[in-house]
Amino acid sequence: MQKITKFEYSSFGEVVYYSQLKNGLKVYIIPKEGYVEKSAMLTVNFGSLYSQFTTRGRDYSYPEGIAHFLEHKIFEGENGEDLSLQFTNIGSDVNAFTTFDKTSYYFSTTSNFNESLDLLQKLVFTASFTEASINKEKKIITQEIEMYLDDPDYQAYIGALQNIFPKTNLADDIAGTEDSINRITVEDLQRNYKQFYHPSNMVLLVIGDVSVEDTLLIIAENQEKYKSRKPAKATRLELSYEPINKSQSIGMEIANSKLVVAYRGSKVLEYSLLMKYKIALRLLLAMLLGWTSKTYQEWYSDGKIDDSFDMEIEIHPDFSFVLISLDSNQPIAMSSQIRRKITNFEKSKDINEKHLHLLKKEMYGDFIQSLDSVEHINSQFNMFLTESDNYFDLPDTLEKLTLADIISIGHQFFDKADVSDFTVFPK
Amino acid sequence: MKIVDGVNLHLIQTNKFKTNHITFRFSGNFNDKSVAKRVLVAQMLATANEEYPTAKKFREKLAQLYGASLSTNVSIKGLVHIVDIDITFIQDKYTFDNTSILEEILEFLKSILFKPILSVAQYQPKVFEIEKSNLLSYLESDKEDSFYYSALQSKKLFYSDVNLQVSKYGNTELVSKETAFTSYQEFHKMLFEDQIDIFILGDFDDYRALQLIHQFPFEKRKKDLQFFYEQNYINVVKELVEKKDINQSILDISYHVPTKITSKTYFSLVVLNGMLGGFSHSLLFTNVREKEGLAYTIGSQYDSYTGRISIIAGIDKTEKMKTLQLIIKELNTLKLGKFSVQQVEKTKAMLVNNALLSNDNCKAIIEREYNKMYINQTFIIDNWINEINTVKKIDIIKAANIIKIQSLYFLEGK
Repeated sequence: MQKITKFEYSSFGEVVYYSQLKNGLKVYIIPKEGYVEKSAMLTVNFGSLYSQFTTRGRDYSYPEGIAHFLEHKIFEGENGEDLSLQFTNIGSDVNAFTTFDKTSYYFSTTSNFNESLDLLQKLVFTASFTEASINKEKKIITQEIEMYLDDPDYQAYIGALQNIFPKTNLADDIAGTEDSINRITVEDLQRNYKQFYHPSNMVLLVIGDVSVEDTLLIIAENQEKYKSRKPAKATRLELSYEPINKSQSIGMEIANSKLVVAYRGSKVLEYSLLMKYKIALRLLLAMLLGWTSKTYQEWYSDGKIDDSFDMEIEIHPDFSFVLISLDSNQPIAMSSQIRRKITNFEKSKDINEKHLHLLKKEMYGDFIQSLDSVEHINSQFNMFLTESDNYFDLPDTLEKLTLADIISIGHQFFDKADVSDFTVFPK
Repeated sequence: MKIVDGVNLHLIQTNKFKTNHITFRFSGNFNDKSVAKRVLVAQMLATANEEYPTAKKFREKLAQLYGASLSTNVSIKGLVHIVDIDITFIQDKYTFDNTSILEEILEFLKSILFKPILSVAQYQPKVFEIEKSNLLSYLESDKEDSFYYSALQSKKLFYSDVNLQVSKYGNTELVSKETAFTSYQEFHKMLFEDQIDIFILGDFDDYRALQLIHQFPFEKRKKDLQFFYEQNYINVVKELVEKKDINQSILDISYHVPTKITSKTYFSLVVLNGMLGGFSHSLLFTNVREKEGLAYTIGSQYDSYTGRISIIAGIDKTEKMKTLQLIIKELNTLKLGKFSVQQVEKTKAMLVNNALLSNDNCKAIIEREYNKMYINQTFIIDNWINEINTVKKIDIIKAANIIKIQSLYFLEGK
């Protein structure tokens, strides 16, 4: 029997079971009593940032979008059949997505959970690629890329990242470009698959009303079928910190300009502090510019901002950024106002104990609300998972954060951050 | 349970969740005269009221209630326009201080409804003008989403009734015409004349909830709601091509479906739609996308209230004819019964799976309750599933033969 570790969160009634299989696969199980939905998500630590990596002292470079391309091709069986249909056959819904650093495959079902779990492993742990099928896939992905090209919000987002992370894979569309995906070959896919799709480089998360022991047993048995040699460790190319583009813009057929003020954090963060750092920045920005702040109220009632105002915080060990985005008819003026607020954040009247207390309460409530959705737990759990903590540690981290911590983290991030504007103007 | 005529309270107890959910639902007629006003009302309801007169104060109150999330949502079911106030909040046992959140939420809801932010028989102009101008810019930027835009244009082309040609959010022309006065009048009308349903779902004290709802000063009303709309099939296919400076082109095809149909036909059409373009094993997905690689986005939708099946495909502009031919071919496949029983069974399994999944979602449970009460009593979940399971291959062939292509919209890109 596998060793199982149980983590209990009695204050909000959740339990997480963890076990690592012999082949290195990490398994998390979150029982949700009374729920009809059962889901599992298998995540590979391989995303768009990995198109350049080093292993055994050699550097490899592949066309941008290869991780996403592989995600599409995983769904093709040996004889060209679409494997997702096998899930459909048993009433199970399967899908996948690729991010900067991960590729996740997941299904959701109300019946035939064990069979679906077997299928998920079969899907990810077997692969076959043919010349003909990858050419057809190129056509489909080209349509997907064109769809993103027509989405002004997405173009504003990617433009902002291109500004602050030039000449890195962060600046590329996760799906790649029409040109880059056309350069992808069968050998490229095989090489990357072998390198990254090993159980030791994956996490399997199960959520639903399931038996922990049985589920773990089934997974362990199933894994016996897919023995493969563990590849030499690959390290992705370190992101280079080039000088940023301070300001850029494009024109699209839109009614109102879209502005993104983007901050690039400095290089490397301590891995164990990621959650604390992320929550602290979120609270700081919510106090400063969130909808309970005086600044938000002032801008909102002056018609300077509307509900499109949004703040996104990404904190990873080797890259971090904050994006503040909004629709505005005076993007230049708004950019300088936002920058001024952030530079002088400590002087803001909105930064105080009372406001912090209110927002902590709000964030805690949001957390409890998220526990009612299997889908939500799925995405959040993966996002917050590190060696030292997981999503369920959020209330504890939140409670311990003091105003002084938050201010200090705010200085750590913003004092040395590079800042840039990206604007999409109406054509 | 009836509070007064035309106002019903629905209490749904379950201990599965960690939050409670309230939906306060206005149901009124959907038409181009009132839609913009009602959408403005929805904006105002979620912004401020007399007690919490600024967005900041309003949001602070919600934050204090452990981040209760309040939103207003607008939807249509055929000829009925629905405005919901949805509130989700954590149960008392998860608070640090044992606050009775349900009580406070109901008080808050009462003040949103009965103490709106006013100045002499109209919404306070300053707050109203901001919400109006925000709504106008949301409506403008919605058009930037080419799938959304083509869906609207395709509806406009398909429906002969002008009311149904409008989006559930109205449009910029209609919204521009409204004022703080006309919108407030509409709200008044909604509160006094619309059918009102209050749903409370979760783990709470029934008796206390009922007591508090009884303190809401509702007046009795009589609202006849007509959900279904029947449009005659026209013997000419309507066609419209628009050009836009975008990368991807969109083909949006509408099929005419009768609405005065037996429930057997309804269930057959639901399965038919699933087989056509509802899932990844559907004919359109496997052929247009996987086999031919013509599209990334491809699918179909069935609106049983207004009798329309729409098919949407994001393609390259040069592939319009090829895609159209393929779509017509797939419909013929259904009409001629050139599909396997297994495909039917798969589709039924997926539909049943989706229906069961809705048991984990508060709003979906509420929606089902509403449909069961006012639209079709047989829509209780077990029955719905049984009916889906009785659909046979021959039923789908029959259903396929009553749907007819009616309009073709093409948004042509670069």
